[in-house]
Amino acid sequence: MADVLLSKVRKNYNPAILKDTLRNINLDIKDGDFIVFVGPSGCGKSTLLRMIAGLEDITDGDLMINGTRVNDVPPSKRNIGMVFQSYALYPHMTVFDNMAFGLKLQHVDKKVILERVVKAADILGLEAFLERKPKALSGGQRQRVAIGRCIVQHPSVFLFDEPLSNLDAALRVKMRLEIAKLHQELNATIIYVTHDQVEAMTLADKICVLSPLKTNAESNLEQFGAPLELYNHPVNLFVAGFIGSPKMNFLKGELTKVEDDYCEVKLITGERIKACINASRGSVGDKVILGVRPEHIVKADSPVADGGHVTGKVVVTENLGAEFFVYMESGASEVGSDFTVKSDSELDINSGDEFTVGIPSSACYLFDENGIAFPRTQVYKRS
Amino acid sequence: MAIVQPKNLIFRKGLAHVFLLAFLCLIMFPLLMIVAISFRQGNFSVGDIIPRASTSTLDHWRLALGFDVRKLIRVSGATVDIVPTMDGNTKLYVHTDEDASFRNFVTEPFSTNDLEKATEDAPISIIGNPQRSVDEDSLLNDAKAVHDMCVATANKVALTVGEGAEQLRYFIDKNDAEGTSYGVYKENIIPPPFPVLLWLWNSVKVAFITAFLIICLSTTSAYAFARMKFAGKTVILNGMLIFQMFPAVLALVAIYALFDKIGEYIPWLGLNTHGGLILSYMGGIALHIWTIKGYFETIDSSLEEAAAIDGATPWQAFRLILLPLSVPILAVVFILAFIGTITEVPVASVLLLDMNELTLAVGSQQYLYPQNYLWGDFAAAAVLSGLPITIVFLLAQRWLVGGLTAGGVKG
Repeated sequence: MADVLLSKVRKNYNPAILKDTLRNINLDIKDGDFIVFVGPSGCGKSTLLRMIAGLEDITDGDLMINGTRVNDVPPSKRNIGMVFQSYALYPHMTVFDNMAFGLKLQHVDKKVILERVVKAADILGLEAFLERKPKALSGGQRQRVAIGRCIVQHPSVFLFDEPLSNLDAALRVKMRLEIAKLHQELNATIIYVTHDQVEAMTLADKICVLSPLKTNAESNLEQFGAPLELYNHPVNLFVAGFIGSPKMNFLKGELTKVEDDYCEVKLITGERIKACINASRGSVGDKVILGVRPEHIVKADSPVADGGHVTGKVVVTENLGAEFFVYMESGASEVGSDFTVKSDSELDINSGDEFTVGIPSSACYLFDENGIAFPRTQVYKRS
Repeated sequence: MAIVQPKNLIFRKGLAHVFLLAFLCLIMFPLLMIVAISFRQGNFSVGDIIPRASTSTLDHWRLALGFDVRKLIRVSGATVDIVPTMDGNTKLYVHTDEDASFRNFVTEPFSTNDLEKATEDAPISIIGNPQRSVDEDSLLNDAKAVHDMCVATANKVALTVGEGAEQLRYFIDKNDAEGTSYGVYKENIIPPPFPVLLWLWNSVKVAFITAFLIICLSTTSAYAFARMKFAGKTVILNGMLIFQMFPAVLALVAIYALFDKIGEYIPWLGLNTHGGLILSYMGGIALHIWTIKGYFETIDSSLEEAAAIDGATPWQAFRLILLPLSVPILAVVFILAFIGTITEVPVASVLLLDMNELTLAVGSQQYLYPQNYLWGDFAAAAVLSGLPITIVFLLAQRWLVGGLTAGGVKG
């Protein structure tokens, strides 16, 4: 079990082109933490994981595992275990040999190998398949073998590279629970890469949000924190937009009033919205972006709709049974269907209708022109 | 599973079958012809495709496999007569006027009882004394008795003239299948003209070692090209392909000079050695590298990364993970290299000089010289040279299996 510390880590695949993939990544991962890297495709989350594994070299910065700098230590000596997106099982070996491969290379005693493999198989429910080749296993079983291959080595850090992305939806939910259970049992440090928010929110102790590196950005580590902290207090527009599904609604406007514990924003449509935001950093007249999560939007006549109202033309409605989505054109962000409403109850509206919704003032997020968040003074609790 | 097809598909399918069958016949024709020629009497390139029992012979095969061939040549006009002696024994008198090299001889007396012990496989020898005339009156002059004697001695009694290496053997044999008349035949022993089996062994030896070394060299270099990053990779890869486009024949004189020089320092790699020949064949691995590299690239590199995390060195990852998964392509390359080597002529014909060092492909051409095309012997040697290829292919076939990498990665 080990701490992992990254400081000022930079990665550049091709030094000839001065285009970094990752820049200035600082992470302090504590022993026993379940860390999830999320981000859109191409943000370098897999690269970061592979750098921790030692499959990619680190251009700049330090990587410490358990207090030792391991930048130049080969993967096998870092005491890590990795589960690949593609499982990467050895197809010509049985499940047992797959799991025992690493131990055999280290010339571990045969009895110990047997003991450890059987124990891992027991944890993962693979006892019945030890003599099978990977070909004869289902996707979920293969994934479990890949995890088992890690467990037998007793690594101090587990690295998971999108392990569930190849499984079907039902199996993914099941395996997600199993991984959570595994974390509790092993109490190991786990670093997990995914693009699936649900996995990130449910599994992580802490989430690390990465974005594709912009040319002049200082870093592409956007925010590192607990799941609910990211949900409730995103530091910038990117994190706010990335965490939460459906995506947060962004409305353009300008500050018209700044008080200690609230402020008022005039949207470009003319609507005035009161938001529980400490905008003292800005001043009246500043261009701002107001954010509201689709799930926080209430009916126009609701008593909690104290922030204001947004009106728009309904483009599409989706009824999922448990949830009801309305996609509408509010005109507040100068793009097409820009406003999403998530409702728990069925609404009697059709596309083309005018639709007005209410916004609770405590459910608002506010960002300045550069996308940096203003601190919220209240956090909306859904009743 | 089957897609619904239009009606005229059956017709088209039939047509395709006919075409393929015709194509197959076209391919099989030369092979059948070679086999037929190797069983034909004499050295004729034209004749029946299916050998007939009456005109077929194993002589070419006997020669190719290193056995002597025994032929009986009729001494024209030779007649046999019996000369009884005083003590009840018999002498044979053979005489001809037509063959200038052969006039007559009289055998030593022998007892007719001895003939019973003789068989065709183990004929008894009776010494004949040449240039000895016989009194006309002492001849038995009994056609019936002579005929009986001929029947009794046919192929069972060798009449020897001369001694040691110059000894000639004559046999009495039927002139026709029914045996109405008998004549005298001179035995002609033809030794195998060339050491075909030795050539075959040379070929197999050279081809096996070459194919093995080519596998070793090309897998390791293909691994480097497929998995490692180094400067000039693309240039080298393309360069290899382009250089391979010039046939080795164009460089024959250079190869000759090169190996002449190498031989001065390392005799076993010089001219006229199999070592040198194998070394020259090792130059032709560019295409094999490309083939294997292409296969390696289909294997997910995450397998080796997983192995690296499991603690394998690059060599262990290569040997324990990549190679076992690449067996089919290694088998293909082995077969290709083996066939290429065994059928190669130009380089081998320049580098190998001694009759005993030749490979079969080069050696079998010795049968064909402008004055005398020994098609029959050549055909037997040619069929023989196809044998090791067939055996290697049959053995390698069990490795030509697909789906080795199935299940390893989600593709």
